[in-house]
Amino acid sequence: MAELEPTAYADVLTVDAETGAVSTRPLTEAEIVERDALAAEAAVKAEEDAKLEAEQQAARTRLEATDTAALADTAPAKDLTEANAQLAVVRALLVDALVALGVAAPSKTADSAEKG
Amino acid sequence: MAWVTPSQRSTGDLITAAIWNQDPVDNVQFLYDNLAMQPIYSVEVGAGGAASIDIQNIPQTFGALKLVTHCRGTSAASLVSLLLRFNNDGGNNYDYNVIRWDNSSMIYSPAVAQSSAFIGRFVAATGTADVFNACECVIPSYANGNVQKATVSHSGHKHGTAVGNMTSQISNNFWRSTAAITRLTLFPSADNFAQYSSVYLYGWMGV
Repeated sequence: MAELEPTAYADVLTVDAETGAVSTRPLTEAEIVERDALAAEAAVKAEEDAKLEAEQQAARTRLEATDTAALADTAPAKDLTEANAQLAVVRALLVDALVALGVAAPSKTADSAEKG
Repeated sequence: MAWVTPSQRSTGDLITAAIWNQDPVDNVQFLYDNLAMQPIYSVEVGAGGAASIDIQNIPQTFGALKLVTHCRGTSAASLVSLLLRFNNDGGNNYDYNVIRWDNSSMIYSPAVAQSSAFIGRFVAATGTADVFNACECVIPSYANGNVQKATVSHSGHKHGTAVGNMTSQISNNFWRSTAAITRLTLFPSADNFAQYSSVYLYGWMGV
């Protein structure tokens, strides 16, 4: 494991809220050790969060792909065309049957309709 | 100084010193003392940065404190965490619940028995130059020595100009202490506050 560069900490900025007096002092050795430990801990946490975020992003991408595929499956154009063709066949059979039974008059073809 | 509803005056009325001192002077002072949010302290970090910002001797006369920050960090990272301690307590006495989100994901990040409160995040050295991020934290009943303290804060973070470079965070922090808060210490999770980072502390009256 590579050795980490020691952090160069700036001074602590101390202010007195009552008097407004401002002063600075360097971090103590104990404070530096603690801050370094906190930084290492934060780096681990940031890595975990980044991993979680990437997993969420991947899950979201998968979900969107699934949605797109589902929408494509239910696209109406092809299915309705087939359904309309089947409906036309059924309708023609029904008309023929009604004509044969004498319930309905033969339907006019486009040609006969033009001739009146 | 008590509030006295000012009387309507007519042309020719004699405005005595007593009337003047009550109507405008004392009433304005009353409003300032009791209703307004008062600035307690503000500071801007100078050249060289600051490892932490330590506000001591906070007046105990308000009902709530409001802390506003506008910060940038020196750490070689896009973002760092903004941490806060009360009364210099570095023990594992802080619990928090955090939710953070960007354009594609949402992170829940609760933790207990931490050594500091986690009130927000802010842009650091690898973020776009000159970008600083804001955070607001409210600390009600900070001077009440009978109750454990709780805070609510939110912050917004931007470290680049892509839509995915922005995140927002809401944080709720809890300090396992009933001590009145007299001192706030702010520090980044790594390295220092950059120059021009600013901290503003306000007091709200508890009327």
